[in-house]
Amino acid sequence: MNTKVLIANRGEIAIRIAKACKKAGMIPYGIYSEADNESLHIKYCEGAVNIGGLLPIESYLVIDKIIEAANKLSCDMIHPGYGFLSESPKFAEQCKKEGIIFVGPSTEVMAISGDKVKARNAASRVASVVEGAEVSNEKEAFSLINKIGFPVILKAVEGGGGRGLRILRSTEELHQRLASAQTESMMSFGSNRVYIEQYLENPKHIEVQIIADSSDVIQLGERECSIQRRHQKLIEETPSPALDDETRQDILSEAVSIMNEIGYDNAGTVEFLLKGNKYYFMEINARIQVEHPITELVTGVDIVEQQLRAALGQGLSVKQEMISSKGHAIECRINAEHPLSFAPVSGKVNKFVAPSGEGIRLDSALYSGYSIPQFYDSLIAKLICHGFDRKEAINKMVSALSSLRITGIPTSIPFHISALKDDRFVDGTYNTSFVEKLKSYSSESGELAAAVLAAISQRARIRTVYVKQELQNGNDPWNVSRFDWANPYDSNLASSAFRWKS
Amino acid sequence: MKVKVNDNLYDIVIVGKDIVKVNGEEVVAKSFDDCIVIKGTEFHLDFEEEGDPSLMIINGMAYLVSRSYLTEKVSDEIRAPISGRVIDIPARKGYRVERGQVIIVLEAMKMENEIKSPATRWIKDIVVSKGQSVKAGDILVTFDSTRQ
Repeated sequence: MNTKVLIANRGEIAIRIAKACKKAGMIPYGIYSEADNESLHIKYCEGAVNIGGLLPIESYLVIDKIIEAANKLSCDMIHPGYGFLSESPKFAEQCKKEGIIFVGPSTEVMAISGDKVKARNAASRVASVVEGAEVSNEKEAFSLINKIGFPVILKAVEGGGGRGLRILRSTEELHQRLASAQTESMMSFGSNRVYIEQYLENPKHIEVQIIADSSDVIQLGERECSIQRRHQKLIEETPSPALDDETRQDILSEAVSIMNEIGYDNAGTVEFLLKGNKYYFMEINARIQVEHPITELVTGVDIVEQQLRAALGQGLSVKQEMISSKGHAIECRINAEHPLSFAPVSGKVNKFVAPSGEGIRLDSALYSGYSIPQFYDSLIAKLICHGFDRKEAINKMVSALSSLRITGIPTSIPFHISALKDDRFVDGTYNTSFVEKLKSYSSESGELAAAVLAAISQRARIRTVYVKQELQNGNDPWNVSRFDWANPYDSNLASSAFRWKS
Repeated sequence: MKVKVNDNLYDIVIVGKDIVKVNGEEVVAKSFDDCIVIKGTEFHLDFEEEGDPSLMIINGMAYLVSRSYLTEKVSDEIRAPISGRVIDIPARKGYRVERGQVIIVLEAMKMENEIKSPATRWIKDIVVSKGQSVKAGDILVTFDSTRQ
């Protein structure tokens, strides 16, 4: 009988996992919240359960609801995707109790990887780490900072995905932020434990993709994720332009050592910070990551499929010596947000047209007419391009971004095009401060088009107002002698032709 | 019509179907729903923000567009909407006119066209006189910019 997999997630990753399940001969099932009953991921599943609720805390984070759905659909496995419960040892434990296979590392491993303090201690046996420790109150925090000095970074011990991070540069900031960080951590991750470590200014963010089963740990190369805003990754690429061959080999084998050390047994990522040619272990992400597709494009390995195999006890279908990386891949995370204020937006997508072509992949749950709910992440699409070298990948991405049509809502596409055209990106010298120093989001030929489009839309607006006014006053708006249709674009001319009610 | 995009000012005249004048230069701009084609390149208007200035996203790039630039400026004058002859001037210099009040009557295309005030304003000057021929776009009346 075919294995039934419950996908405990939403949006693009739920679709991505459903595709992998079908490819592996398994049957995907889904869940959806009250706000997601129009979500595309439901259509990719054989069946789906409405678990109710709007906010994640009422829906995708409620362990009991998900277990109940899995039992109702008699699923053998649960794939958590990323975010939500993907790194919750409690959830994995609950699955185990119910006799459901959790697609991820074992609960013993998760207890280490999901705890920044334990992970750091384990990694420090085989790798270099940044100085830091867990703190529970201001007194402890101050005594730690007396040793390591400002700036420091404050993290939720059980956090992830770039949330729950704060950079602190002074005692006042620490005083202001510690309590709120603990509260926020409690709200987001169900734990108020926080951790403080030395903050490296403008480092490069390098991570190594690992796939592992009970007997083997394999690395699929690194990804560079230095282009971030508020600790949220925006653009990722592989291979990293920042690593020379020697450092690359070192960092890759160190990642494998760390994962061996903790007995890692599924897909996961080891994150490092790179400053100059020194690198420091940061954390382990015990889940499939948003940016996994770039690794898939250069290695040809389907990471989600390997996850399913490892979880089922079938073992990985690849060996380290079979892995070779071809060309260069880039991912742009497209968010529903205002490109200037970066404020997330929700609302209806009028038109969605995906770009296509050799080496272009779009992972998204969008469709024309879809309304983006306000309750979840603003990530709406991932555009991934693969070229035979970095230059080709960049060019392909710029052209794919300009032909990707998402209308009716603002998106981060202008940011991406601007970033990819920036000299610092083109020559690979960017770091995590890149975003703050970005130049223009416009192009010259587009500026002219903007002026013409603005004039045309303004004329349309004037016409509408004029016609409405005329009809309201019982006049014939189409009587050309009363309105100069050859020149209706000038608002002043138009308004003088209105017959106002006196 | 004047439009400010980012920091640059554009003078746009829609001459006719698919032809616009940009800063006096004729440009062929074929327009479809949310798309115009200029010199063979398609420009898709993906997003247009309400208000002024407003954000436009075109082919994935962002532009800050302001149309209020001229609206503020020209609200201090009234121009002839069409070429014709001034046959009556009911408004008086220095006096207040109500919104919708007839300021000038232009005879054009064998029709009498009442040019009305777009707002309640004080008339600073009447530039034309009765019987005078005017061309479309000529200034007819100026408003006192200090009193609104």
